[in-house]
Amino acid sequence: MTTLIKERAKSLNTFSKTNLAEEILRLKKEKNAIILAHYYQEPAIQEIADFVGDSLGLSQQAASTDADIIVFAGVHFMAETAKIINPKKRVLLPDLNASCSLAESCPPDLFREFIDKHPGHTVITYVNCSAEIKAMSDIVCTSSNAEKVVASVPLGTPIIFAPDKNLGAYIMHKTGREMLLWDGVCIVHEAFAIDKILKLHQKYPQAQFIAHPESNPEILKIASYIGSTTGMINHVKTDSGKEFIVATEAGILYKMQQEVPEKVLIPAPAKEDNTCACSECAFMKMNTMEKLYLCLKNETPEIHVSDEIREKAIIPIERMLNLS
Amino acid sequence: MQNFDYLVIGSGIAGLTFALKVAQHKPHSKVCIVTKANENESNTKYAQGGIAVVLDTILDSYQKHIDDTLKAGDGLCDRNVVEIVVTEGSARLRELIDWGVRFDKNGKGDFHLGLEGGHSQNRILHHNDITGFEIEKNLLIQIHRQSNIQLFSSHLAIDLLLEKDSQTVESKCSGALILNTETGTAEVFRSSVSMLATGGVGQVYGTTTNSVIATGDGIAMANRVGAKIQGMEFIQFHPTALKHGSSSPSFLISEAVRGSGAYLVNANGERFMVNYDSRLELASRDIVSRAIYTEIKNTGSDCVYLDCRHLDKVEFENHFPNIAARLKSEGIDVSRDLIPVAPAAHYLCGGIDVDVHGQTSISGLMACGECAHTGLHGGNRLASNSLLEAVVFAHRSYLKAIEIALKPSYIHESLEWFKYASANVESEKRIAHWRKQVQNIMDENAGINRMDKTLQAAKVKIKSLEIKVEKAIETVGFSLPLIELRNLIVIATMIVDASLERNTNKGTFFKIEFDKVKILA
Ligand SMILES: Cc1cc2nc3c(=O)[nH]c(=O)nc-3n(C[C@H](O)[C@H](O)[C@H](O)COP(=O)(O)OP(=O)(O)OC[C@H]3O[C@@H](n4cnc5c(N)ncnc54)[C@H](O)[C@@H]3O)c2cc1C
Ligand code: SF4
Repeated sequence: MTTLIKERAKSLNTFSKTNLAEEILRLKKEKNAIILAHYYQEPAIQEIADFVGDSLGLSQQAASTDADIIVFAGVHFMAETAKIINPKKRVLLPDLNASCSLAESCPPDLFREFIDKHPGHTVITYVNCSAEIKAMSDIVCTSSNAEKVVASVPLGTPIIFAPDKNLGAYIMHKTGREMLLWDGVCIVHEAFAIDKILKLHQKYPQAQFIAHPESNPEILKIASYIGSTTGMINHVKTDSGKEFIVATEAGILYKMQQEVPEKVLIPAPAKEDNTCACSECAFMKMNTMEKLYLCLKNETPEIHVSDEIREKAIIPIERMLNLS
Repeated sequence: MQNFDYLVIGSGIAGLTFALKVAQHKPHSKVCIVTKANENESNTKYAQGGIAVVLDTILDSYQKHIDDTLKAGDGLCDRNVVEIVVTEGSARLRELIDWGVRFDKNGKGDFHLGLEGGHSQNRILHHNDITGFEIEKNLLIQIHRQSNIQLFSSHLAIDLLLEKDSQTVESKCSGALILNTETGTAEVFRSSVSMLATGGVGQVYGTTTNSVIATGDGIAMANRVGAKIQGMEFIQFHPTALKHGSSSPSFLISEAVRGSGAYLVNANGERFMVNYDSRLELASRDIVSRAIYTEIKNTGSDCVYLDCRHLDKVEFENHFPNIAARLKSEGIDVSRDLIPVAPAAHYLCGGIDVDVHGQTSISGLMACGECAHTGLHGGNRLASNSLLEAVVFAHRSYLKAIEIALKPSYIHESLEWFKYASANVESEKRIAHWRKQVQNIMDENAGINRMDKTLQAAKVKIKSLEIKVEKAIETVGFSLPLIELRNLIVIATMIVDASLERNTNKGTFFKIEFDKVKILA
């Protein structure tokens, strides 16, 4: 809920003069911390981070670091995943409210019921879910390895796929394998409206349309390339095309544009007016330089995962990491 | 900083009545009214039907009005409050008349009593079909005559001020932060008693009969200082708002039109209410609204129709001159054409919790009118009970307020931070767009028929919007549209949360999961 205007204004005021970037770098060294930032973070955070990547890349990065503190500039489930892989390290998240609409669309109690109703299924969960959900899973996947993960399940074994029904439907389409889908969605990706994209296509007839697999099925139908964040970057780099309409978070464009300065990248419009930046994940954007600084300085908020959940959740994650 | 004895936020029937009474009975006190738009812009101004009062004791009785109210409230009314409001109504009505408000009379010189849905007797006093306008106009005339009242229009209350009482250590409301929307400057208005009379929340929906001011500011402000709030899931939808074009607010075709004999027919020309309720077109609002909603869905049309073709045209025009004029301007001739109508968000039954003296859970803070939850309406408001509630509780609050002898503290509050924060006011277009988004989310997910699953989705969407809006403050600064938007987001969140929590269908509240009695279709 909103706070009193006065409190809000005061918090805006506090940092207007400090040089945050310098302070963050200093603290990072002093405390032997690393900053992992997701592509969807604001440019200033990406610039200061040790690693920038998508969820799989970052969870592997987290596994191989020797830092004492991991500051995760992303959303809650990502930091939780890092904590599961690195129980000895302290994992900090600048804003605990940075949740994920997809993760939230799969509440543990309801998911438990769902699994119990369908015994004998192998449970595959997309990494965008809470530690509790992971603890109920047989194997975790990300958008870049989902197909591989599904293929690793013996034919004939029924599969539950959660929480993203769009990603699930896409994988079903790609692999031809039936899966029982949990009815979860990411509201950010849902915001992409097909009609506006088609209009944009008319405006840039030469442009290739590329999309993240979590987008709506209608969008996936017309996309000429579908892949994870890393996949899309590689595609743009190696493809001979000059113009691309990109259906994903607007934040990724910053990273992509750096890698391919000579190409024209056009953000796919969201349902809403572009000025509203609706295609940007608001949850990701909850992290700010101020919060990053405060979090590093005070070493809070910290992510905790109970041993019981952690021990169960690590198994499906390790299965995934072993596959990739 | 300015100091007053009484600060009234809002200039609808509730705020004006309260201010007038306090000022008249405490001629040496300083009373201040702030109102965010023109002095008369309010839901009050648009009230058409009238005010329900038991005057005729032969056919009607207090008991009948009490029973009707309890029935509409669906078991959730506070009986004591219902009795208070019904029995104190006639005394308050006389005061309105003394202040110059004129109500229509019949040929014999008695008041003409209209009939509305849910009332078992004719008991609605009205001034043509512009009752609210007549009340608002006359109250303002009285207010301007009162030299100890200062009325500030274009003054928006942003937040309430809370202060710890040095003796009791209890938190006490000591005024509000007020933004002059013409100059963009903010100022603290201190007072020993603050009265929230900020009206309803209709603007949280895309289709509403409510004035553009109805953004729930008072309730959101009260929420931010921790006041108790109740019944936010009970939104009354008016069954028959004119469905012609898409302007907000939607023009209301008063219940009284059905009271005077109009039929409801669906897109196939069938008089469908026979399938829903024995009271037909005069069933209570939630039943009629849901029936219309179902008919709209079933026929694939975007409206149903009011059929007045069998009514006497001259009589219709006499009784409903305002509606008749509006319809004419839309090219609709009631003696020949059907009137397209659809349900619209109309009235908030819940609000800031108050006791029978208008006192909220925060000391020094009172609430009255549509923003308050007194316990009168329960799960659903009986038509024309809201103007009545406003005057009865304005009176009771005034009696309490003049008793409160707390003196305002005169601590100086620096507003330096505000200058910084409001330095960069722009992007009105973006804010307007976000307001539309809140409304779309609420229309789709928190309307007449609700469902846990879509409510959950709405919650996430609203949260996502909230984050964006809070971020926008950093670049945009504070302005009236942004303050209203923040408040709308608080209101939307409260409605959705309360709806998720409620697990029985009562009054206006309807979740598809709990629909035991299948609606005949
Ligand atoms: C079209 C329509 C028809 C109706 N018909 C009837 C009827 O026939 N009978 C009946 O009993 N009821 C009717 N109602 C309901 C009734 O009109 C309202 O419930 C009642 O008028 C509410 O009065 P109020 O004083 O509480 O609020 P309002 O009259 O809405 O006044 C609220 C005031 O607060 C001000 N305000 C709000 N926020 C702020 C802020 N942050 N800072 C400063 N000022 C602020 C507004 O500008 C406004 O002046 C109708 C409502 C509508 C919309
Ligand atoms: S974009 Fe969607 S799936 Fe990704 S973090 Fe944001 S809400 Fe979650």
